[in-house]
Order: sequence, then C-alpha cells, then structure tokens
Amino acid sequence: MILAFLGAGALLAGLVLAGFSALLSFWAGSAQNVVMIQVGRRAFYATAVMILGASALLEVALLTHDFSLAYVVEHSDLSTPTALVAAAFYGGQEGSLLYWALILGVLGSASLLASAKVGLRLAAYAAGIMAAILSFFLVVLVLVASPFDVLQITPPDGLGLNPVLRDGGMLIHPPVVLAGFASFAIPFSFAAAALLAGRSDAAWIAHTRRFALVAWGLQSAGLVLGMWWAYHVLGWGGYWGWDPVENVAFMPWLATTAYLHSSQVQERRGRLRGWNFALVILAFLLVVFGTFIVRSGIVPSVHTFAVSTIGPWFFGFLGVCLLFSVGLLAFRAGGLKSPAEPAPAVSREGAFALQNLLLIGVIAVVLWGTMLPLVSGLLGQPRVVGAAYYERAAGPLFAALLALMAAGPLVPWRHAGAPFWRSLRWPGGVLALTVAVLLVAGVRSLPALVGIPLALAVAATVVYEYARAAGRWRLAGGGWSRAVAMVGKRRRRYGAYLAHLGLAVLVVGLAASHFWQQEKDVTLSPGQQVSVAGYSLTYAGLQNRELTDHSEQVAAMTLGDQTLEPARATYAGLGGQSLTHVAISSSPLADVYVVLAGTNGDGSASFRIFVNPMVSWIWSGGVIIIVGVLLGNAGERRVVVAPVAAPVRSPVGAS
Amino acid sequence: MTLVVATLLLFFAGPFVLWPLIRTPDEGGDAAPDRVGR
Repeated sequence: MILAFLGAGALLAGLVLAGFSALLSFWAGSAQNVVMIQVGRRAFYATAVMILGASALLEVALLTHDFSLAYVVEHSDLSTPTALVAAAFYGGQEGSLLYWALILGVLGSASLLASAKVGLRLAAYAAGIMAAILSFFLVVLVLVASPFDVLQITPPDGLGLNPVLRDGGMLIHPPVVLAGFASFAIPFSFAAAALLAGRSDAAWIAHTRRFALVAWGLQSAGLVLGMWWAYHVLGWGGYWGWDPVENVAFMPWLATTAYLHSSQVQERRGRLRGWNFALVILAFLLVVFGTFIVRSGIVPSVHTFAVSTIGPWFFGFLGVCLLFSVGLLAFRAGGLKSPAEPAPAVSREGAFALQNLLLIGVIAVVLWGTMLPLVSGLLGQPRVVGAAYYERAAGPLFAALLALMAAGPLVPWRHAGAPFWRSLRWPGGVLALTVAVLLVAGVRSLPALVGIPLALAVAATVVYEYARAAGRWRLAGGGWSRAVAMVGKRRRRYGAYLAHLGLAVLVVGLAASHFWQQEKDVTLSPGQQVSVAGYSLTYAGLQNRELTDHSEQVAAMTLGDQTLEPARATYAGLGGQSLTHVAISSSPLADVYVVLAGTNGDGSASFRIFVNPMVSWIWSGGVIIIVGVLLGNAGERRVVVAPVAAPVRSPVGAS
Repeated sequence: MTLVVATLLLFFAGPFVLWPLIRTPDEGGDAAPDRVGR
C-alpha cells in the first residue's frame, strides 16, 4: 500500500517538475537567461529521477507480489516465473507507458548533459520539448493510466501474464522496441529546437547522430526480435504478417534509415537540410501515430492485448505534435533551401536524395495499408489489405532500394566519372551470374529472380569496398597497427558497410524463406513417418508434463538423431487458456518447423510441418547489422561539422 | 497521501533544481554570465 502512495507521489512530483522544466526552458531559451536555462535543465534531470524512483517502486511491488496494486494483480501471479514477473513492468499498458517515460527521461538527460557544443539556447529549447513530451506521458500516467492504482480489497493471487507473453522473448523484444520508440524523441526534440532557434546548420545533426543511431539500432533489433518471437511463439510458420502493429514499428525505422544517410549530405555538402528536419520529425510523428494505433485498437491487429482507453489521449497528442511540427517546418521553410546549384543526378548526394524518395514511397505504401481499414471504415465500407498488397506495392521500391545499395557506396561525392562506371562491374557481374544460376536451377519467380541477385550485388559491393581498403593497406606496407589505424580512421564507413552486408544476408533469408517455403498437414499414429521437402520425421508418441504454471501435452518427433517436441500448453490458472509450443530444428540451409495441431484419443496426433529455407539468415543478418552499427560508432569521437552559410532568419533574436 | 508524498519529494528536489539560483556569486564564479551570447 505504501509503495502505491510513494509511486503515485513520485509521478505527480515528476509531472510538476516536467511542466516546470518545459515552461522555464522555453522562456529561458528565448530570453537567453543562462541561470534559468540551467534551472530548467536541472528540473528535467529531477523529473528523470522521479520516474526512475517510480519505476523502481513498481518493480519492487511486482517482485514482492504486492496485490494491493491493480497493476500487479492484472499482470502477474504467484506461479509466474520471477523473470517474467519482473518483465510485467512493461507487459501492461500503464507499465509500458512508465517504461517509455523512463527511457525518455534517462536518454533525454544524457543528451542534455552532452549538449555543450550545440549552444545553450538550442539545448534549452530541446530540453523544453523533451520536458513537454514527458509532461504528456506523466499526465496520462497520473490521470488516466496509473500503475499505482490501489484495489479496495487485496486478492490472495493475481490474474497472471497473458500466456503468449510467457516466453523468453518477453524479456527482450518489448523493452527493446519500446526503448527504440522512446528514443526517437531525442533527435526530434533537437531538430525542432534547431528550427525554433533558427539554426539550420548541422550542429543538431552532429549532436543527435548518436541518439538517432541508438533509436535506429534499437528499432532494428526490436523488429528482428519481434520477427524471431512471432516465428517461435505464434506457430503459423512465418515471422512477418504486415500486421498494423508491425507496420507502425517499421515506418519510423524507414524514416530514420533515410535520415541517417541523408544527414551525411548535410554534414558533407550542406544540402538536404529540409529533408533532414522533415525525416526526423516524420519518424517521431510515426512513433506517436503508431502508439495511437496500438493503444486505441482502432484497426484490427494480433496485438489486441495492448488495447485500452487511452487512444483519444494519444490522438490529441498526435494532433498537437503534427500541428507544431508542420507549423514549424512551414515557418522555417524559406531558410532551409540548399545554398548552391542542384547536385548532379549521378553523385553520392543524388543517390541519397533518391533513397529518401524511395523510402518515403515505402512509408506511404505501408501507411496507406495500415490506415485503409480506418479510412474506408469512415466511408462506410471497411476494407483490409493483405500481404499481397504490400508485396506488390512496396516490392518494386524495395528492389530499387537494393539496387541503390549496390551502386550507391561506389558513387563519389559531387560527380561520378569513369572509375565509378568501371567499379559497377563487380556488383553487376554478381547480379548477372546469380540470375543465370537461378534460371539454370529452374527458378522462374520474378520476385526471387530480382530480390536474391540484388541482395548478392549489395554484398559484392561491400566485399569490393573492403578489398579496396585491403589493397590500400598492402600498398601502405601492411602491418596490424596500420590496419587498425586505417579502419579506425574510417570506422563509420566500414561499420555502415557491415550493416549493408547484414541487410543483404537478411534479404536473402527473407526471399528464400518466402519463395520456397513448403508446408504439409498430416495426422500420424505413433511410429509413422512423414517426409517434407526431403526431411523425414517419425512420430514417437504423446506424453503429458506438469510444469510450474502450466501443463503440456508433448508429441515427440524424431528428425535424424534429433528429437523435436511440439506441444500444446494449457494454463489451468488462467481459465484453461491453451497455447501451441512450436518445435524447430534450425540449420543454415533450412528450418524444420513442427506445430502440434491436435491430438486424438487413439494416440495419433495432427501436425502442420513447414520447411522454411534459410530463416536463420534473417537472424544472422540482424546480428551483423547491429554489430556493424556498434563497431562503426561505439566510442566514436564527435564528428567535425563544416559550417554552412545562409543562416535562417530568427524571430526571437540572434541565435 | 499522494499529494503529501509529491510535496515532500518536490521539497527535497528543490535545492538541486534551484541550485543555480541559490549559489553565491563566489561559488558560481563571477566569470559565468547570466545571459547567453548566442
């Protein structure tokens, strides 16, 4: 009980401090008052501490099974394993909002502590915007969705966590995705602050680049982990269903992917300034839109456990953010024009501009697909689009993006001459060779004949770039110390190439598992055998197991010297809810994926068996991408930003 | 009760938040201007 009052008190104090920080930071920034800017900033840090305290109290309440709190009752019970009880912190509506606020508070504080070089005024506005966002979350946490609501009567046990969430994936996927979502607010705040302060130079980009990378890295990991979890838990043989909740996590990732490339053009050439502001703002707006979609349940989704009554709050917040951002961009549009003549089409900057257009195209396709049920519903004829729509509409754009990834790294800045066209022979050669091999192998699917060769062409470009670097290293005399120095000097570039390589590996996995998946439904008696895509499985028999929080009916299958154990779990404590447990035998070549569909009284069992080629490449590709981002940026020193002329006019005095 | 806790927490956070206003010129250093140049 006392925990509830302490927690609710901390959130209320946090709300007062965040509101104070927002108002004071905006005023002090415009009045250029150093002392008050520092006070506003300290109020932000204190807000973060309050949120940290409230989070710790909620975690203590969960781990000590304090069933006087409604949140603890609704999301845990005595039989839930301790790790999952701890994970219930972000497993429910109120807790996930608190977790979001916690990440924003901590990362926001870090971004302010490191903001010495962007200028006090810009940092003050950024603090004000972050504090305003935090105030919104705290208003919702205090007034609408408090995790510290107390029950009139304390029950002896809780209702427990949804069975689908009782999985190891619960410990990693939601916190990573939510942290990714929350961290998009940092680059947004600094971008909007730069616009407010009338600063269109690249200082905000240099400062927030690491935070944008953190957001992008977390979202990349979150998306791949989400695919991995869906694949291992849901039992439908796939990993991506173009579900609205998947889509809304994908769209900010696309916008930030565009931004991370496009921002280089501003840092190097002073161009695409309007694009960079717009992309960062778009990424954050898509995050808020996504949260609204997930929380309101206005479009049908498999993530229905997240639906609640706070949708209208997020709708209002989305409206405010949209008006503020669009108004700010429109107000500053005149000062964001590029300083020089247009860039040549065939140049690095031209390639980045093209990738911006292509990624915006993909976002538009995904956004319309996600919003169609909502928009068509308003017009009286609800319509839902399936995977075929996304594949047909976004497929050609993805193919063009892969082609750009294959050619783009080879294009020089400013102007592409003969060496560029000569270097294209490497990805071009790999592309042609792969198409020929696939045709000889009997592949006639156009998407497969386009996707896989393009992914291999991307890999060829990366290998070519690494080989060129190795050539320079040998010419310079070789040696380990020189290799380390050469890689260290261009680590951002080589890390990015590694991320490209990871994406190529991931795309090969996606394409192979998508185009060549095989599936068979069978009913077998003990001892009977079935063969799918050359894999022979023998059904050994049924057995029952009693575990801590559920019972399992296991149908053992032998595959070579392995035993696969697909099962159906029943949670008696949760009203007899049952769930399928998939058994997967994984290898680099293919996954054998067995789902227990049902059991019969005579000991026979029905199975759905999938053979999914190269799925493990998807997970490996995800790991390579993250390693690339980490190697390219961990411990990196601040990038020197070239000053750019043509300042933006400011209505609030000199900036 | 929640209001009491929140008030107490704000009371304890006060010195940290308001420190730039509380400190004497000697502690803060006279060199620190109270207005930004940019």
